[in-house]
Amino acid sequence: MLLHGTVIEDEFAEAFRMWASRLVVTAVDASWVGIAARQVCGYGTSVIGCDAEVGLEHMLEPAQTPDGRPGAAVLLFAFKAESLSKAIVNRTGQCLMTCPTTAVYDGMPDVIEDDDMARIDLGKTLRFFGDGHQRSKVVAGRRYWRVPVMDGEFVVEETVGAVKAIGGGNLLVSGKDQQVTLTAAGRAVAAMAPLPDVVTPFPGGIARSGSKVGSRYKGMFASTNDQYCPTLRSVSDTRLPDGVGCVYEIVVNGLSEQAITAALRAGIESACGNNIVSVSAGNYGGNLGKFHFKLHKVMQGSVPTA
Amino acid sequence: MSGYTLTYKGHAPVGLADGAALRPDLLGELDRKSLERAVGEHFDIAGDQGNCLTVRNLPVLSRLGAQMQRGMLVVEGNVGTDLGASMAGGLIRVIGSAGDRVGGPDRGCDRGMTGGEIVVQGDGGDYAGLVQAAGLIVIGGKAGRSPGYRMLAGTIVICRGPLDQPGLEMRRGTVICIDRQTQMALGPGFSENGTFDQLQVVRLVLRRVVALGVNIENGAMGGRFVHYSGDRFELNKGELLQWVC
Repeated sequence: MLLHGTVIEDEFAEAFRMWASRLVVTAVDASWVGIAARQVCGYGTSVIGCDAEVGLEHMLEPAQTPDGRPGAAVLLFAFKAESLSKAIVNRTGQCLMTCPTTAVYDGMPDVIEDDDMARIDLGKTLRFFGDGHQRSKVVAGRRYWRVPVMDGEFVVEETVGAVKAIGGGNLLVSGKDQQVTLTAAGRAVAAMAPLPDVVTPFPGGIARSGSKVGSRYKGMFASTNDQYCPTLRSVSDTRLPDGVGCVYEIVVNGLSEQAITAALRAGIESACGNNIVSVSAGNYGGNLGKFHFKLHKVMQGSVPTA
Repeated sequence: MSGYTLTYKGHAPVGLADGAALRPDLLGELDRKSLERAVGEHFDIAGDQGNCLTVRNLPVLSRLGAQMQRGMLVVEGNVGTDLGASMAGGLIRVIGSAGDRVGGPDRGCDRGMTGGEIVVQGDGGDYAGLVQAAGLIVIGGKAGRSPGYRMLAGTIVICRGPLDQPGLEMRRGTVICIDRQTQMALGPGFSENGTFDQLQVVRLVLRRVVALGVNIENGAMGGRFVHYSGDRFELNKGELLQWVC
């Protein structure tokens, strides 16, 4: 399939079952919201080495937040609800409670406990920082903990919802050189950014160190994806088409297959163009991940052009 | 929200001892025939089954919404004492004023309301929130003596002052006054902590108050509040907040 002169390869992105939560973070102004969001998203690229995969979903207007202040919706992903719980409590405690003026609310208030959904204790755990001075307040059926801190109070919701989600949707954007490929990948991330229920957790939404499963070294679960490294073209079983000097990966985590499909499609449509040789996707032969996003199927409805 | 509307016929003023039976969770779920058997002697009935019960043209009755569990009770007109006594859930909205002990304890109960929300658009009587254990009370006008007296937990919002010894002997809970001009006569067990803006709990509560249809003065939402702790003769974990600017 061709789009704007770029080949869309007949490949699929292999993605995995994960658990996700949405935190709504508010602060006194948009600047502090941005600082808080950056902090909580830090060191949250891949569960290969991080406790969670974390990204900014979107910024929120004051009218969209529980306390009427500017805010941000942040999505956090982990393989199990238990590990997600630990990551959320640690990140909220260390990155958000410490950040001036913030408050943290549940971005999935309608989630109730069942096989596909869970409630994670957040304020219920963090309240003990108050050393007996903490207080709770129930407003409209939701319990908030108020932890006294040196700029007033840190308000945090007692529990947050968690749902089964999907991690590891991805695109591989291959171009003539680094500059043109980075620009194209940036266009793809920008096209995905406004879409709901998805995040791209890598730096700027883009990963350069795409990985394969396993390594020749003991204890390494993942190692560089040598088939896509341009400097190994002549020494590895390369999968790079002729004329490709650079590949960037965009990893998309989302709350549903529909959300990831929409994001992949928006990303492909934006990435394709001059000097972008191909758009492909990473997979492991289909044996590891439950979800297969076939690029041609993702693009159904898009008119192929020469 | 669907439900029945009951209009009091007014020809049998002694027919109702109190309003405790006028609850959406008791009457709203009855079919029309059963409802007519239950209250048709005193009320004209309109509407359908549902979780909202509206009552009109009532004499001033006590114990309306007492021990209510769920649903929404709308009272058009003034009500008597013990509105929402020991209620556990749901919403009571009074389009008028209320008597003493809004959200207080019902007969035989040692706690006031344990959940739910009460909105009195007019004035409230004395001791609103007496031994209140949870939930939200909003008094759109003035409150009488000591709102939050012996309060255990929960929230009271009072839109107009003056306030006479709010929260006296409270253990926990919050009384918020959003009348900037008013005077607040404090009990001896309260101490001022200072004036604060950006108290998110105030924002959360006041946004809920607005969502319940109560008009609050512009600026209160993000305003500065004086914060008092008390009552130190009890647990000293209660708080009074008054909007100042």
